[in-house]
Amino acid sequence: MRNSKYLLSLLLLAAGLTKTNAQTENQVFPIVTVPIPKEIALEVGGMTFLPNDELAVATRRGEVWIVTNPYMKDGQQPKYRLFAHGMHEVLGLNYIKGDIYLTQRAEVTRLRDLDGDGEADEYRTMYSWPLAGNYHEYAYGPILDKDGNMVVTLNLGWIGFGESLSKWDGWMLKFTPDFTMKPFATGFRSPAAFALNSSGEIFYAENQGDWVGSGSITHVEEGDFVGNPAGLIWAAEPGSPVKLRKKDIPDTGEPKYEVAKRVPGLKTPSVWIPHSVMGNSTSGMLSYSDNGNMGPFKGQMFVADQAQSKINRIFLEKIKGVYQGVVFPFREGFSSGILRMKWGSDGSMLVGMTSRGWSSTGKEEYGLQRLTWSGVMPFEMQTVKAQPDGFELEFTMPVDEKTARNAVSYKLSTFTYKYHHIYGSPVINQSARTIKAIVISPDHKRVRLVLDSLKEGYIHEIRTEGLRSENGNNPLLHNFGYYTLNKIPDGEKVVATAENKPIGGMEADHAMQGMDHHDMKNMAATDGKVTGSTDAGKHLTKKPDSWKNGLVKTILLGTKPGLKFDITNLTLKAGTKVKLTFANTDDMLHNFVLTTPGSGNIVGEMVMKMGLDGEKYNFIPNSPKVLAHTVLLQPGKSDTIYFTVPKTPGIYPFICTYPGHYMVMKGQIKVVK
Amino acid sequence: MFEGKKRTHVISVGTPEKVNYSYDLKQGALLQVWRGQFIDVTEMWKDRGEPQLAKPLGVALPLSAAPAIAALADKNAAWPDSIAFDDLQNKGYVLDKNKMPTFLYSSNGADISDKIVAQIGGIERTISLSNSKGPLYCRIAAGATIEALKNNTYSIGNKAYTVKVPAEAKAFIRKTQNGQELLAPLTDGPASLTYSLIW
Repeated sequence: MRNSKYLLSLLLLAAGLTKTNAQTENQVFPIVTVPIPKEIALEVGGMTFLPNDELAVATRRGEVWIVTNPYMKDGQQPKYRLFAHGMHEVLGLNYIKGDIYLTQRAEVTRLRDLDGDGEADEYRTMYSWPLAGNYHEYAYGPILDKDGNMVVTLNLGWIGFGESLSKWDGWMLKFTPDFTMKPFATGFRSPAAFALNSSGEIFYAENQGDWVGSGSITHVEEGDFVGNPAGLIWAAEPGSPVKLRKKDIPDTGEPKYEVAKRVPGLKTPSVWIPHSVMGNSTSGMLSYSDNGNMGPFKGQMFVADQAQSKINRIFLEKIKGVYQGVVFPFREGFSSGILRMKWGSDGSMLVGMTSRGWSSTGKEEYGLQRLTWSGVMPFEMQTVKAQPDGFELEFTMPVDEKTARNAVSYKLSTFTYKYHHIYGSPVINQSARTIKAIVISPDHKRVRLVLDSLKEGYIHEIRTEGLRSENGNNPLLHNFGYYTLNKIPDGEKVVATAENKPIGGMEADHAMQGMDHHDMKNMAATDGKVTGSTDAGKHLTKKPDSWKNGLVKTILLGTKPGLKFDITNLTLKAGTKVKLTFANTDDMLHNFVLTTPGSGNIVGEMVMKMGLDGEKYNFIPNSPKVLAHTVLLQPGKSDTIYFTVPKTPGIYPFICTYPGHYMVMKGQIKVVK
Repeated sequence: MFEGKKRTHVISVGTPEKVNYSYDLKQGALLQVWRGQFIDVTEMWKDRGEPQLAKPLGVALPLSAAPAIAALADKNAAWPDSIAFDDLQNKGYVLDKNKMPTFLYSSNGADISDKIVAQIGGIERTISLSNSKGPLYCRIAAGATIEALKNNTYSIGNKAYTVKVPAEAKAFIRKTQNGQELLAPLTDGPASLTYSLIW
């Protein structure tokens, strides 16, 4: 034994010396922070570049700042000057046809500096719409469509559920060049971002919520109904191109794709962005046009996530007239909640952020950063394209044939979400797919995976953890993606032969031995997966029989807007019997989880590793660090639990474990003797 | 909030003279004026910005939420409480050299500009009209009582405030169900009506 241990450490040392290191996001796509003067609260709502390469930034406090030299060229600091102020939560800003246009809560505004003193002195209302005064009635845009119209989207209000409180809440509106308003499509819930793809088609990003099982991007065409029925109350108004009415929309919890088959006009997402795993709150969108310089992904789309402070990458293809495609992780680690991205003149990406009111992984309240490409070729899946019998994975560099031919290198499964009035959805109808054949292109840059079956309308999870590069035997920078298969393409299917028969199954264990264990340990993300709690003892909803005699302390816990419990400090005697009712009066999903001392953040982080299963288990990880918890509560719902305060005095954190919330939505129970 | 109702298209303006006012862009209505500190935006800028309210940091003098300008069938027709959302097109505002806004809108077939500036003792409001299709009136003030003083000055609501209107404005007091109103006819011109509000 002693001998073999000695040998193993030698091997590891050798591996460390001879291997090039796995790529990191930081190495390939460095982030540069653009400093913001202390006195400016740059809560970015909109960004645009002006013709002289200055960056105009609109804020949620209704200001427009002009930033000179955000690139910090020649080592110079950027300069900020106030161009306009006193507006109402600007969440969109663009330079269009020689003017600055922006969207306030109630209107599209054009700003002009008439006297040339560097500050706006004309705030021209181009179009104004009604408001109910609900905080959730956000308005976004305008962007220019391919025909020269401006496009704006309006959020639903929130009154315990999403509601169209004012005319056109939940709609995408277009404005002709003479600012005639044309309602374009509805069914929107929280359409914080939209952009044109390389063909000039409009795509919008949606956030999980009622009628929205998970975030997504959707191709929007005139007359579309994209899912949340609230906006349909205006569908009969003059000028509306939407044919559906509220009564046409079933609330059955079937997959949206299935419902859409019998409800013409209901549009399903082009690409689902699986909740928790890929993001919580889809936000900014940016098409990778010729203006960008972000590696070998031209023509693709970058979609940010506000809560997870990261950017995903989406490849779209059109099959049988319908857009579909795959979402990959791209870059995480931004400083605040991303809302807007724009290409700088040097091809870098300016990333504008705000997290006020919603927590984000990046801890700053707001921020401005610049994403750059170092020039190092990332080893990534460049595209995934649907095939009649599976998928073709295209890589940015040749892959190692041995790992590529091994079925164990891949893991594929299919799933979808419920379409219903309830907030969010668990992952449903999940099943594993098996690989029947693997065809590798002569240049080793494309791998075709033939599957046992494809599931039309479903999300296909594609994991490639065992794959290595041909040169250097390196793992991928990101080894998974989610392909939304709206249509299965026609075409020639692969005939199984001895040549394309994958290694794997019975041979898998053998094949694994040939792979580098050192790397496998680093890469096997699924091995680090946290499972969900099934311990009913931590969620007692009935008073335990043994409590018959003795006092029970009743605690009523609620929520406050902005991801907060309404009570954050409790002092209780050790051993106290507690009946706790947690009422969720917020507009998002929340739970209550009591942890062992010092474990609040640990438990919160464990949830991020629960993957697609998280919601099914109420985001409660299977861990002794969890002492008691409620279920995951829909907005407006409550749960009552019974637990006994621990006998050991100390500070016991309680948190909401909905992904990302634990960082701000927390409190503590001080246990005393 | 004004008269118990959340007003959604309101702009509040503060001045270096610490004379402040709120203006309803969808009614052309001067809602309230106050002196001192400007405004508390906590309920718009903290967390998610609920409940979307801006509150004057001073004792506000409530004026009126009704449109400032209306067409009347005759001199005795009742003043409208409000104007429908689609019947007034708010067109934004322009700032003068002192960064004070002039509000622009169209209603009753006319293009209207409404300029409010701080002056000693209160504010001065100038309404200009163009392209009007028929006779329009401005309701300068409404109150339980309006008393005409000398020098074209009027005391409103038992001396809550006073307004001063030039003689050529042909302002007149009329009785309503609730009290009295001070009206003036408007004609096209760069300064169809100018008056001061002193409190």
